[in-house]
Amino acid sequence: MNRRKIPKSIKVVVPLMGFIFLMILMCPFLRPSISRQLLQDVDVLLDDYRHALVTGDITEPSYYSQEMQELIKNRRWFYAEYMNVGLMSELQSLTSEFYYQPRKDYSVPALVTVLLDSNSSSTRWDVLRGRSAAIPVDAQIRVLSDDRFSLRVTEMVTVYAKYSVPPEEYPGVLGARWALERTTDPLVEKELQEYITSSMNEVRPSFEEGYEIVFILYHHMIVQRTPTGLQIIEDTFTDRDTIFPGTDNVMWVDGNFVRDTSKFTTTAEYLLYQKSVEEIGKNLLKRYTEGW
Amino acid sequence: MLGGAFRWPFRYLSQLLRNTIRNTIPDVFRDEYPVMLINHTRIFDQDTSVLEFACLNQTVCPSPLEIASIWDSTPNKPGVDQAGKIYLPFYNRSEVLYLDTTQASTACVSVDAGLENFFPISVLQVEGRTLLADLDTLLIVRDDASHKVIELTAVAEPTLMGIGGLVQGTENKVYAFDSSPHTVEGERVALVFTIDLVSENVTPVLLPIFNAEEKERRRVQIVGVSADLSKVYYVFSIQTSEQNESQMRLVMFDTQTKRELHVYRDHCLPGQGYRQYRNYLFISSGSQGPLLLRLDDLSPVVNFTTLPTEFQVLTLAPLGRFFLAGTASEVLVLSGEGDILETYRVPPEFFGKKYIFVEYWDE
Repeated sequence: MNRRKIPKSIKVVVPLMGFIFLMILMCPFLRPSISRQLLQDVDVLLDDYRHALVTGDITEPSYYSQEMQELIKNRRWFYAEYMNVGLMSELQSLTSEFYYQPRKDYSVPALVTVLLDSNSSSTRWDVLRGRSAAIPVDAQIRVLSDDRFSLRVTEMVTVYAKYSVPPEEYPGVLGARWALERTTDPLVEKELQEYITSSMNEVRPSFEEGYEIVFILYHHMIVQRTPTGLQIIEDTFTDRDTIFPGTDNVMWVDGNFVRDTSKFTTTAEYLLYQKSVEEIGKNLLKRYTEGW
Repeated sequence: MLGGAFRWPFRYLSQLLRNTIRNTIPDVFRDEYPVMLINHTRIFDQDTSVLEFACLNQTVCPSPLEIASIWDSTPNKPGVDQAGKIYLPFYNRSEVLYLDTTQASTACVSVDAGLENFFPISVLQVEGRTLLADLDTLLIVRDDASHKVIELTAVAEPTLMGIGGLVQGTENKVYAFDSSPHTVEGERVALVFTIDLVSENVTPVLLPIFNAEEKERRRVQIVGVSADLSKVYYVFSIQTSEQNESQMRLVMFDTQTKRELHVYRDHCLPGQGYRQYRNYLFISSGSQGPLLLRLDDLSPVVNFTTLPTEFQVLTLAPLGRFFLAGTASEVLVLSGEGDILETYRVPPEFFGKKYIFVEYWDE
């Protein structure tokens, strides 16, 4: 039998290339892994953070740096003040829930799914470089040093409040009553009466029963391992998303948190209360008179 | 001959080696372009807008600019040209503001064509001219502050449905394409206007696209054309038979061979908002965040969700041969291959705000 002799160069190069290829495939798995214990500790930490925010009671001070303890107080103040100044409401209570699912990148099933899924927009090269699009990223833990890591999580804060102003004293209602006294046109009077009724109907449930608003917050925390456990050093967060600018924004400069309070005075509700009854009334009168 | 099972690793190994060689000389960002942000604040009770600038890699930065207007003054794809002049178009009027930052104090010049009901979506800065287009009107603002208005409905046959975007072509040409496909003599076509920047003449061109018999394609939108008009890019929704759900697809169509060459699949591909720059097709921002694809094969340059950022990437803009990617807290300079070359902190006063990048279009 005539057997072709394999050139020596191929004998060396092919296994070498195979080895390099294998190493590239294995590379993500060789990274230091996040231990199961750490994930459990993070769960406990976030649950305590949630509890401290909701109750105002910091039962485990060691979980937070001094500035973080101040931030927890500041966050409770922010929600009360935002409701009070920005939305003319009184805070009743709030709830918090962290959505924390560790990032699953580089797991074997995810890798196989992307490689075999013809609908995936990712190229194999993207997968090999850890850029796969088909891998969910809800939370991330990134090791910064031996004793520090960063944490990316999402929080849903639900704020329950009651509108502070009775329907009869709502500026729009007062303005419409002012306008009613200055028109004799029956059609305009009818429109203004309907405006008063609908405004009061809209405001009444918020005044009597209350309402809720939800903040979806994206957090980036710096967490440190201490002899007694984990401690949150910094927590930068915002509810800025792909569409809307953020309202609840906190970032850190030189170890101190910086809170943006500019949104208090830019809400439609706040701006409405800056107008006089006469100004609102004139606008309503103009709107309904020019419509005829 | 190698068997099919063994071909795959070798094919990708060769691709990997090619990429490795290409990446051995990484691109470097040396502050050759200004990294600049604008934050827009509307003061409602005074009919005024304030634009604040943040310059992340240079010390000199324009002072806050107060714009008195009954209209909102959110800049629409602002940029800086090679001479250092900042141009500020707006979403709701035919005015363009030019800021000359090269002088000791920033000089501001307004050029307003005075068009009523002009709501430009598309903006292109090319050859010193600023081009703005809404659904049917093109405004060319020349570098000497004169301007020309072109009603594209007057030169359109078939009837223009709505301009979907502006693309820089070859040899002083710019293309404005209709976002809706047309059927002419039974053939599906894309309507493209060729604008000669020297003569400012407009010529409509019809380019073939996919076969009209493919009725399962819904909501077809033309999103781009190549600089030589040999390719047309469009998105459409397609019903996937098994799960009875629809999926969006972005396709590159070759007008010469009349074949679809590349497909990009995604459940959440938007139907509009696509822009072209150099060899890239991108979406600056949107409900699903930005997107950056290579024009020649629609492969993604970068997966923004896996970048090691503190927060998700929200916005994207061209910066010379690079791209700027912005999160709530960071601004990244990305290479043309999607690698992070530089990271800047967003100033505290811009954190959480909906800031806008000042783009740099390298010609």
